[in-house]
Amino acid sequence: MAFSHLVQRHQTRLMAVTVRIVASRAIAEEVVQEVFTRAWIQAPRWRPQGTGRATFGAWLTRVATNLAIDQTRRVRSLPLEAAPEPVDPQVHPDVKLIDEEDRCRLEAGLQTLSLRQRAAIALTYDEGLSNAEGAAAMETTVGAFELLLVRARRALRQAMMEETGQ
Amino acid sequence: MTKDVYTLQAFLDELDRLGGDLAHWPSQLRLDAEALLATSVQARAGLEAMRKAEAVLTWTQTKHSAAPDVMAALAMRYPQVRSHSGAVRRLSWAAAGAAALAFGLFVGAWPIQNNAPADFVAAALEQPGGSDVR
Repeated sequence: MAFSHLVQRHQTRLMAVTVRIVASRAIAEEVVQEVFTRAWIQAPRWRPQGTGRATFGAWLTRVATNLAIDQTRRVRSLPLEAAPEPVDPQVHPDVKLIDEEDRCRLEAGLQTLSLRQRAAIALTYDEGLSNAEGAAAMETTVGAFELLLVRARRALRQAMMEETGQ
Repeated sequence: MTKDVYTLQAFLDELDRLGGDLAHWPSQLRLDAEALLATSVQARAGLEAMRKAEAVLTWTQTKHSAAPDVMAALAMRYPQVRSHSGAVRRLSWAAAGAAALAFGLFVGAWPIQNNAPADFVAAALEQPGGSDVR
């Protein structure tokens, strides 16, 4: 099934981005499912522009990023008892090489970021996008994207430093 | 002329802008940074913190993937939108044009009545007894 191959090709990277933004694997799965549902529904109207595959991937990323931000806002507006439990992201097996304290510091730092800052971090470090590509995914200017990224990095750097008492 | 001093704050600003991999920094900035790092404990601490943050971000990337067949099957339950391809649009215009042509031929083939305006005007002008044109 061709569509299944399409899902297989893109879902892991979309999950990586959305998990980073929503901080919940369950919600991220819902978001990615919605992305592919929209892709399926809109498929007959799809027109490849430029390099087809890259453009389709960029479209998926843009939809996933926007949905992840919207979904997290919705969840945050729910009463606390109705919100789903945050789930630790499934991490790379080699993550044991990372100091657990460092991971906790980073998680704490990520919690202080705005949703758009988290999205900028996710698109840069999980998706590996350039600033221009990240800006396109977030439907903003390159300058605005860079500002989000600078503020996010600063917050994470300070979180790593403060916790170590440096 | 005094040489500009590369301050700790300037270094930290660039660190937040460019990330902790100095290899990706512009060459002059990298040289300035390396000079500062050789003498500043705070600069080294800032760089170490940034590199740790980026390392943890990299290592904690989610590698999760759900069953693609299930995800695809769930998506494919929904009906797809109708395509409005260029070919279909061109066909629609062609059909409209053909219909207009057929209508025109039909109207054009309608028999002309004897009291057509041209005949009526000619007959009126030939009538004797003057004219109402002043």
